Amino acid sequence: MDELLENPSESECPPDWTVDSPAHLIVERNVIGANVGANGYTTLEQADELERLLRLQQDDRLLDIGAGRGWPGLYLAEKSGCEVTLLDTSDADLRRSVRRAEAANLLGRCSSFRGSAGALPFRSRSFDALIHTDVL
Amino acid sequence: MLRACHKVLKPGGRIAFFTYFARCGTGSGGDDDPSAGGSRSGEHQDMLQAAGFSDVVEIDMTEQFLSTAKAWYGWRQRYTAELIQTEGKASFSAKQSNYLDHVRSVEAGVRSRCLFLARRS
Repeated sequence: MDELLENPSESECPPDWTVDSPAHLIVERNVIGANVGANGYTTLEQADELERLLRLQQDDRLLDIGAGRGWPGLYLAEKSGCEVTLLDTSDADLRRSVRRAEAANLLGRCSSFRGSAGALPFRSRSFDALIHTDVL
Repeated sequence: MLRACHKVLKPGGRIAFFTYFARCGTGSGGDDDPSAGGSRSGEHQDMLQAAGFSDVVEIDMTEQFLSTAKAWYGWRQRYTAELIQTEGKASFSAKQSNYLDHVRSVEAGVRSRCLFLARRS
């Protein structure tokens, strides 16, 4: 299993002002409940519910399909202590997810791969839990 | 896709996903009916079971979906000028139109969002 994405340098991953502008941050915090680079429908409260229902533990390996910029996979890893693998088709979003992982001190427990849900680039029986949010 | 998910999970592994979808049979049935090609009740549960999952649970999240769609639309409207500066007018309008479509389709009873949970045997 080859990791497809290397950690980007700052110059390769400039801020995305369509997400990170002051106005976007205010809007996102009021809608989602946190600044996590989200523009979908999974709120902070729902991410907490996911962690509870999946009973994530420190030794678990979690796969987030269609992870985008890392929400909510990175949050679940931060909260539960599990390892997380982020999968998305967008290089740009994955680079931003790695930057978010770095900011949350999660690089040691986070890996990012480019790929699609229909042809997952992983060995059989690799993960303890799997999530996707509004991908299907 | 669910079969691929089943394959990469360890035995006993858990899957959880949110999905929003049009409800079939609830619209007018015309060419522009948003429910055309939608999902019938229980379809996702059947798909999970066909992929080999057990202990399937479905939780209706439509009320929260509506609330979040309204919040996106409303908060973005408050910051229209600032958001257009970074997104561009066309992108801003397209996103607002999408959020509004979700609000209207839920209020019309033709779209739902659910959380599904299941386990690999």
